Amino acid sequence: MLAFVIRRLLVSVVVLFFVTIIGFSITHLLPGDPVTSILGETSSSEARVRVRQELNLNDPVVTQYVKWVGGALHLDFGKTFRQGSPVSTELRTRLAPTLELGMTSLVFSFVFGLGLGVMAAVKRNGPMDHLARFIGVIGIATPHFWLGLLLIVLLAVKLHWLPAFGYVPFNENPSENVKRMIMPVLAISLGQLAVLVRMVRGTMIEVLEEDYVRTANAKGLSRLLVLRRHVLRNGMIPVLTVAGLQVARIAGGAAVVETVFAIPGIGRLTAEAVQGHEYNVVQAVMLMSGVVIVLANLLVDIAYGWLDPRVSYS
Amino acid sequence: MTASSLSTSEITIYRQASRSLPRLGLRYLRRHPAETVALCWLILLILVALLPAVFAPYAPNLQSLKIRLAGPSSLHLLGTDELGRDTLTRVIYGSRVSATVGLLSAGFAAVFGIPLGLIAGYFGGYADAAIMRVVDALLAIPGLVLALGVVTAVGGGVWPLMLAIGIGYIPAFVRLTRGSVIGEMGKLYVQGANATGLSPVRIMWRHILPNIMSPLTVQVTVAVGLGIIIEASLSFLGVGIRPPQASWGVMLKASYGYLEQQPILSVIPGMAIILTVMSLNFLGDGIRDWFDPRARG
Repeated sequence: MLAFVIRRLLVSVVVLFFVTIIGFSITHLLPGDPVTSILGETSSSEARVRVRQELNLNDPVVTQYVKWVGGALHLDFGKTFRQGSPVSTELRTRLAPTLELGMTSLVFSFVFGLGLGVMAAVKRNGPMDHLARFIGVIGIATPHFWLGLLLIVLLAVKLHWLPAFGYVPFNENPSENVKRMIMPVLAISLGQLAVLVRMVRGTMIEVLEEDYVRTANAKGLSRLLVLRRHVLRNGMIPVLTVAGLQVARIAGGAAVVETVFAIPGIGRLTAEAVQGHEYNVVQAVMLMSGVVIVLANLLVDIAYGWLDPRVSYS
Repeated sequence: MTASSLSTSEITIYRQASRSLPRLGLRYLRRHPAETVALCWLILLILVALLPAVFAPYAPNLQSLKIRLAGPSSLHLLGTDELGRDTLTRVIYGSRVSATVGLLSAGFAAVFGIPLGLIAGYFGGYADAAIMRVVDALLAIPGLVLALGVVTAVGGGVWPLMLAIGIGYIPAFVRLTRGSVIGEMGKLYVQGANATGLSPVRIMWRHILPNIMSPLTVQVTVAVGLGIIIEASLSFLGVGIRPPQASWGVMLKASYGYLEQQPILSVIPGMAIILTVMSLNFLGDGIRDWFDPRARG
């Protein structure tokens, strides 16, 4: 097991190295002059020289890369062009809403995805199964942000149940915080819920037909016990593998959903940064989301090896 | 030979052989209503996207400020937007852009992903390890964030979006192709081709690829749908397709400012997206069933 963990750790480091290469090359090597896109076509030559200096564009590409990664290791991602404040400070002040939104969505989609998926598989063609299949089909075809728009129209504009926009920190006003989180969480979660429900339902149906489940039923174990001990435990393994992907999807979804609901998080920061050509911010976000997702995948791999001992020997 | 001299089983075989592909296709569609509806919607969409001027009642950027934000009426079936432009017309012209971006980005991902997957699966070893680590790294950056990064560098528009969305979908094609290739490697026809001394390129391209086309085709339909969704997301953020050009995402962005006055403006383009993406997914399921009836769930 220890050797397995170490091996996965080393692979993660290699993957992270490639993440830095991709993050760097997308903004540095693609066609398009960053100086022009930051300053516009009609800019003074002094301003151009200053921006080139700030972006280290006069150095050879390899030096630029080493400087960037070196800075990133100390959480130094340079400064924003507009305000001139450090990018890491910007990220830190925007972190809390995104974390809250992301974690809540993750928990919400997993709890409901598992529950609905299991219920659908146990009683096939029942009402829960129909609901599960409906969500499975609709959920993956609906853009996050459009669901957000629809929720605003319905729950805020028409019914006046919830406030449409904004964010209030939980420690300032818990009830306002929860009210403003409901719609964004729903908007982000439906897509993940759909993927999970499909996955859980499919796996559970397969597991329910296994010989060992028939044996467990035949020897007179209660239905709940069979489900908990034999079905769920084996059905969890494939579900776990999509957990890493879920983190990635939620991180991506946050960018649009935060913009829809005017939540001052990392996602909205990124969207604004793209419009304002804040290269340093976009690069930092790419790198940070890469780190988070590689870590999530590492945890999933380790949990996988722990749940299914065969994995760690392969 | 007369029919009476044939046994019943021979008649069945005879009948099946004489059945033409279109007739088999029709029978398949009769039994799968969801796939039929999906196919009809997609055909309509393609027609509309190819010939928008024939189907659209007005010119796409024709404004008339007197009737801005109007609800549905006999003159404007789906109402008008904030500049008095006909919503049905804009949805029709928008289909052109959304479909183009979806198809181009899926094509881009397939063109780069399939060869890389073939190489990784066929050669294994270091080539496989190197390709797969890069793929893991690409997967570690959420597709939308990656697309945002590309758009920061190269700006908005149809071609940049092809690149921005396509790059993020390369990993899916690499993984699927690699897995399928590994599944084929042990089969006799590959060993036979190897034994006759054919070049690896020829074996991959002419022998293995045709045998793994069906999962890849399914993946393309899914990729087109995802491309349409990401285009809409980027345009909604104001960094994708540039107004006044209409795309479904551009229309949704414009509607965001008028959620209270005219909610139907945000409903229509979203419905178009959902119907299209759902249809593509159903089409993908249909293709899989058609080629591999055992996979029916």
